[in-house]
Amino acid sequence: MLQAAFANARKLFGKLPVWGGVGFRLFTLLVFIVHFGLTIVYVAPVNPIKIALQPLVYGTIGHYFGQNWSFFAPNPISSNMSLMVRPLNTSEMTLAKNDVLPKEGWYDLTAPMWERFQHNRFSAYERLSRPQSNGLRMYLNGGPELTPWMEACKKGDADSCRFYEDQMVIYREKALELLTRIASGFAREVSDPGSDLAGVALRVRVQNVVPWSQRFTASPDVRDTDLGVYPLAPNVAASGIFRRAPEGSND
Amino acid sequence: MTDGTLVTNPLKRGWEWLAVEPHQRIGVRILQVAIGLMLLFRVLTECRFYLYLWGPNGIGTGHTSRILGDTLGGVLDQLFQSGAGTLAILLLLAVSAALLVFGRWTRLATLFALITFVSIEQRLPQLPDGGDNIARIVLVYMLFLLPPRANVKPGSLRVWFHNLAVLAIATQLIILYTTSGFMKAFGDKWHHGVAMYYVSQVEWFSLPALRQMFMRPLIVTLSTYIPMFYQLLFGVAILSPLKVPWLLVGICFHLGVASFMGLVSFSTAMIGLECFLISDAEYRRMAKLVGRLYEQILCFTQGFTRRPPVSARPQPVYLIQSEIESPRSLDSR
Repeated sequence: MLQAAFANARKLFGKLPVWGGVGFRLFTLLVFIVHFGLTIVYVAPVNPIKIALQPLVYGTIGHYFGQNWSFFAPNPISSNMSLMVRPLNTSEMTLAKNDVLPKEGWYDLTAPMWERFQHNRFSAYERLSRPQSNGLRMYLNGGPELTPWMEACKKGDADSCRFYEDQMVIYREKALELLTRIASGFAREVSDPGSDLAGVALRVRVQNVVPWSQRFTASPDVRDTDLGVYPLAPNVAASGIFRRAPEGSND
Repeated sequence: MTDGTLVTNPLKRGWEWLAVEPHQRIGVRILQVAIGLMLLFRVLTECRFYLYLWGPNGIGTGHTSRILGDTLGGVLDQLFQSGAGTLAILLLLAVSAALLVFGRWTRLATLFALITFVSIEQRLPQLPDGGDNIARIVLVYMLFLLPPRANVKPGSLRVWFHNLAVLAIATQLIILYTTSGFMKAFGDKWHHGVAMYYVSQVEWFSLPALRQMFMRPLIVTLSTYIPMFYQLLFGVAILSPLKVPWLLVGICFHLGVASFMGLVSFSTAMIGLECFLISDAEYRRMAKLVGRLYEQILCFTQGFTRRPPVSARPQPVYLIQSEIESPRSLDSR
């Protein structure tokens, strides 16, 4: 059917008079120039034109041709960020709501994926770790889409700060929903079928790479930050790659 | 020549480039194969986890209607509400990708690949990487490319759209490289030549065996500055006589990214795009060069090894050798 539609369109365009054909070609060329003009504004660093054209650029290119070519820029990724999860039963959940989190039984969901991926480049481990890593980055700083705005804000641009703060509220909400779903699926996968699961505690473990100047002398510092306690998301599918550990923790 | 013709000639040449003959026919085919392989790689490695990633109770909860509209997006969103529907989307993506690889019904395959690829991307937007991003954009432009064996009338509107799509893909690639290079240029760690040390030490993108190597000043500085300058100068280099060597360096660079950083699908897409930029005439010249090199290697090795049987010998070499080695047979004619 679509092939027939292509053929009909071809016949229709073939019948265009010469002047119409030239006019039509000029019109497509204009569309091309406008499209790539807006694309350049979209990918450019924050500047007065970008701020002035923000609604148009984000409503067109941002919506249908969204793109991010930062590729480890302006500064490369320099920390290992892991998602830590602690499945909680009803009594632990009650205690956790009063800021008492268990010290034992935390699982690192991200690090084992990286380790497996280093042994097999033709596997899905890297992909499976992406939602966790990107979710954490989204929660902490909005991810690569908001980096230019964050950088401009740090340099004192008030418009950029306003845009960044507004967007961060939305990004954090989305990130928490994703991380809670990942954690809930995992908690169900590693818990006994009849267990009294009520929620999940989330934590991010950040291990910074040793600075270049101290590479032979220092060891990496590890920092844990709690992201909160959330009720179990209902019926999230299990990934099928985590087996139930007898002692419950790999921490 | 008047000033007027000096100004109009480049415009005329540009117009003719767009309007008369279709360009990059070989490059287009390579791009279709690369994008098809990249999509197939993703489906084959990730389909085992389809319920977890995109299924009705998966971790992804996004909606396709945001991009594809209420009608088409609504249908796809409905498909994600069942395991079988989710699997059907992945299957359709795999079939479209295979058709692209084999060069059959390429426009239809591109359309279905685009729709299904966008739908899985929108379902879980935290999953894709830069390779998926460029593939999704390029698939839009690929809709306007001519099928591999299409015979078209020179100057037709189909040729115009094909060439405009070729130009769009090339422009998008230049934007990608220039943006990336530009952003690196004002990053502290790139500026000071140590960025690759940091990348090589994180678990996500590294091989533990190579970490020590990136602690050496010469290696880390060169491996930081070379990609940065490569990206910054890409737009200028591909308009200069350095174009083909520049693209070959890019292909080698992305082979390294695939093996050392593990970004297989990203590298496949980028290599396809770099091959796409090589023109048909440049491919022919390269084929001739390779053919000549092959002949020379054959000549050289025949000096050391036993001569192959007559039927296995390449024709030009045989003629030359017979003339040199058996002058008597020539005399006896």
